[in-house]
Amino acid sequence: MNNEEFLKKAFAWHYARKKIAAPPSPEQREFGTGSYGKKIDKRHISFKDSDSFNKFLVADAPLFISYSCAYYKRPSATPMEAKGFLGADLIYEFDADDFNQECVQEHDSWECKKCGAKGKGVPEKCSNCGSGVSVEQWVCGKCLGRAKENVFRLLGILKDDFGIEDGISVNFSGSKGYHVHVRSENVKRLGSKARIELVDYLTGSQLNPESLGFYYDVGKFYSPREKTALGWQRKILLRMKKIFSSSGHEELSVAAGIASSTAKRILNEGSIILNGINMGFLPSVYSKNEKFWNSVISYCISKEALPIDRQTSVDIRKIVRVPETLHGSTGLNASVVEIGRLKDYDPLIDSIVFSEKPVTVKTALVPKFCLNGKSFGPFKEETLELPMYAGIYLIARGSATAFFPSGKKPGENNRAISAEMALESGSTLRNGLHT
Amino acid sequence: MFTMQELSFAQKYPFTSIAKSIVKESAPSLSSIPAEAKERAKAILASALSNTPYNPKAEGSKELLLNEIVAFPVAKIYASCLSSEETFRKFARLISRSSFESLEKEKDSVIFDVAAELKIRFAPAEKGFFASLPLFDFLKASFMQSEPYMKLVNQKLDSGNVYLNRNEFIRFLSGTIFEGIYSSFPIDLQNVPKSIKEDANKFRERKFSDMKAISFGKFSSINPEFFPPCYAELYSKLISSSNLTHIARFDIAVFLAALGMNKEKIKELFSNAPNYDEKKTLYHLDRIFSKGKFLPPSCIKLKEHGLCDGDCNVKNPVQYYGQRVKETRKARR
Repeated sequence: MNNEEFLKKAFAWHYARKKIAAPPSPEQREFGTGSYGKKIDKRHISFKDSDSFNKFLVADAPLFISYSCAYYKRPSATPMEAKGFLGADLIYEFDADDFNQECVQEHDSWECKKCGAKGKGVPEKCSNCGSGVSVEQWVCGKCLGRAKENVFRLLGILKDDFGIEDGISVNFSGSKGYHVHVRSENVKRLGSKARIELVDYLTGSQLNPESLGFYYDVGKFYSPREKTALGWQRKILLRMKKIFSSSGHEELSVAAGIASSTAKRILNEGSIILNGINMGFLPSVYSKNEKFWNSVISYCISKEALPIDRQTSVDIRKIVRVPETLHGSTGLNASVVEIGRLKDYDPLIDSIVFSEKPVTVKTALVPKFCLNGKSFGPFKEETLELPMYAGIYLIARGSATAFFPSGKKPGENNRAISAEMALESGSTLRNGLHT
Repeated sequence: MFTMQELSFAQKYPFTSIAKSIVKESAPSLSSIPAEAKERAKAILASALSNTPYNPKAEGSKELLLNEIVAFPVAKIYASCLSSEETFRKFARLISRSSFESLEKEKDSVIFDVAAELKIRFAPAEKGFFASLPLFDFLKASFMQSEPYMKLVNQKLDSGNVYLNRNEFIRFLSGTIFEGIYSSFPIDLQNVPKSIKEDANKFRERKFSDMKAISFGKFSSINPEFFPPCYAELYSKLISSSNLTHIARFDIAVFLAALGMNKEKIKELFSNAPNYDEKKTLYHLDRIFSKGKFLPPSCIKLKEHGLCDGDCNVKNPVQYYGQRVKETRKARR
């Protein structure tokens, strides 16, 4: 039994015991499945209803199953033009990889294929020879926490700016972040251009400060007044107020591209600046006034822009993980999280579905990682016992293999392949499904 | 009877319900259209095709105003006879531009009247702005995204509404006028008198005289006038910079290659596409031109691709083109 077979057996066991709610209007969705190491290797699959979808999960136990945000008349038809597009949900994806947090220095590593140099973090090039590098990325609570913060920011914009409160569903991606699905009749009818407009708004792309009332004219820098500011006007002004009232000179130094000592001096006049912002102009506090404020505005935009995966939101033909299904790169569940519970949701605990029962695996080099509130590793290349969920996590990532002692037949005195037995007798997890 | 004020309004905004009522009363049937109105209609279309503003001097004369008002639907009939996306687009652009210029000079109440005529859901004078629109109505107007200052990211949003100043609101109205007129094309020509269709043919000649036959390959020259309706439409869209689906682009490229158009010429045509990508275009053209790899798709295939819903009595569009070429040569002899 290889890694893929092992995982499929475990996934089938899970799907046999848990009915998965198919996405709304399953008969109008295109589905796609993936295998070990390949998220999508088959597309244009359709199901007539939720029951047939669940039967497929049990029988086929795909390591990845994705569905279209689009609704089609004939979801399994090819080419894409023949499907008969009916509309599409909006999907926003936040991926911890995109945030470049400090913690990547702890858990991510790279290796240069050319000169063999190795190191921590995610550099663009090899620090030794300048060649491209291969990167091994992991996630931790911090990365996923940052992704969650951005989900909250998105929910705020959806409500405050777009007026969208209903039809929103949030789920953990099962691996590195979160997906936010927006389903409504208004959204369904949006064309590609309108979707690009929404993403441009969220990411601040092609934002023109002058159009929003931030402009320099005859020695004076004007801005909208906070009292009447809306949308991006408001976001920029509030960020500015934060910089000049509570952030400290280091941030102003970065924002304006000025020396730290100059930033300190300017902050001494913080109250004049805040007063100016309230009145609709940005006071002259630096010799190069226009450049100073343009830099500050650009900085505010960059800080307020949401790091959304553009492709996912704009491509109406894209297929994404079916919520509540297992992710074949982690074995974690892409759990739907009620917005009211999102704050307390911990994906590295609450998305675990497999048991505590031990499984024997042979690991590659693995950094320290946390699951179910427990810390594992770091591991060198070694054979060891891990709880089923942690073993599956490493096997799915490709960081371990199910261990088969030499001379033994599969199933003989080997815990790694007795997945079903282990699953069935697993311990109770915080929100786990199996007891 | 309509007042001079109503006539003047209808002439400036010929898509409104009052303009339609005036047309209905003044020219109840196509056969009762006055010759002067037909002449004005040609003048409107000529302005549209040459991208020049149309500024009739009709103010103060009831008769002249009536001719101008009746001329609008007649010009739409002429434009439809030309059966080209480019003409439709140019015509819609002419009316939307002239409406924009008129609206700029109007009182606020008239602007709101026109907005109501266009069935735009708006709220006037909120939060210090001229008007607000629901976000999803704003997003439906795809024309807005082509102008950087009208992009959503540069708008003032609050709780699902977009707040616009006077100029932005008028720009939105003119865009809506463009889309309304453009999407109303082509109109049904079934009951249009022969004389009007003949008039329209003169415009057709003018249009296609610009589209010089391309001398190359199998048919010695390629004349888009002989294309079957499916490819005539795709070709027209291509040269007027409309977006085509991947399959439509691929099919027309294979078709043109089959007629004998060379790779460079096809590439040049595709350079009109709004999202033209030279590398991708060349990649696909190289595949198409690799010996014997792709045959021009049959009519059945085109139907499957959603590009044809007619019946030209041929199995393949190339056959249709060949027949038209033969017929023309025979007629010339």
